[in-house]
Amino acid sequence: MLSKQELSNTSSLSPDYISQQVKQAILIVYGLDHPVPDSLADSALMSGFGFNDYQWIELAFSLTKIIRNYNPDQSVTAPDLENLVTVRDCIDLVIQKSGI
Amino acid sequence: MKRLWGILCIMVCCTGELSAQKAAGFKGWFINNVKIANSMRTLDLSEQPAQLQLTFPRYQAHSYLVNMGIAVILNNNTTLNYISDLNVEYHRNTLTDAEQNNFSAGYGFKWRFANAGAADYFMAGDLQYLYNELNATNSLGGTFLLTLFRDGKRLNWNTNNFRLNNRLLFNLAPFAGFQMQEILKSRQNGMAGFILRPEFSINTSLAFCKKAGPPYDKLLAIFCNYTGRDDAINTTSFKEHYTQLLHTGINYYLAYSPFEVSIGASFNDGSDPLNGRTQQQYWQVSVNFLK
Repeated sequence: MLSKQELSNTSSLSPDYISQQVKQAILIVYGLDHPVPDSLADSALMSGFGFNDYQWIELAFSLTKIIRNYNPDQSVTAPDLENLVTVRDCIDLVIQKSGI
Repeated sequence: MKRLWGILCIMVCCTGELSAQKAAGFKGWFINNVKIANSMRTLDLSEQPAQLQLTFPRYQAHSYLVNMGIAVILNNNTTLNYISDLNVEYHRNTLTDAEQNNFSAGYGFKWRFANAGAADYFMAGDLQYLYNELNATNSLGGTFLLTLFRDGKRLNWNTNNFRLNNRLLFNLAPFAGFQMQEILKSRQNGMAGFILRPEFSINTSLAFCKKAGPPYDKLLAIFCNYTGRDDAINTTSFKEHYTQLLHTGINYYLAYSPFEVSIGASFNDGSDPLNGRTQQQYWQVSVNFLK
């Protein structure tokens, strides 16, 4: 979980901050109740999480929430999910749709 | 045996046909959009591995077991609360006294229809054409079940629960709903008719994981899936009453990528009328592949 200290140290418009948010969203959907974004490598394969369909839908909702903080008209659609091979792909998708 | 290979070829070809439209980025598309497992049935959400087993020497004309389903996930541009797939599956077991020989093809979906703060609510369902070779029965079937999803809490549903510094995880997945089957034609007199079965299922698993992660690779997993159903409405001449299916066992994991490979032992007891599985009880040791 991002602490208040970390939040105040990071610009909410920076790709690094979005990267932390995305990793946190992935880890929460994975089931961790105290996720540590830094513990998740950008290169980690999404297939390694073994997500079922419910988890994919929930992840799409979580990523959409992050995007809408910056760009209320955008969302993650089902076709977007097919290109998410690594964690980095998720981060890039959110940055691209956020328009940062 | 020729028919068996024919059906398996059709399953692979159906997948290839749909995948041909997605030549670009095929690896990523395949990883995320094609599922191969024991079954794509709505109830089998713990995704048991596909199985293919032959026994030697053969004491009977046929001695093999096939439990395999292939699904291609369909995309939808307009919503993100709905995932659907086209699937085919084949189940044949000549290794037990009660043979099974069942083919099905159809459409499956998961729909997130409500959010109530503490949890999200889903409907999982499928519509199938089914053919049971043993009594030449043609059916249309449908299953509609409700379940819930919760994450980020001490007790999660339909996702992992981690304990002991993330070395131990367990899953809880409850389902409740009903199953419909319209038997159109059968070799057996009195078999045709409509059946409505209220049903529930509880899927659980407990796994010990490697220290490195996330994601955490499983080392050893114990699972237990139980389904109960009753033919509340049955216009055929064959009453089923309460039927149940218990599938429990243990898996030891050998590899994780690109396929999850495990060796396992399981105990199976019960029946699954929709899939042409009559009452049987057996132990099974197998090498499993899950994609």
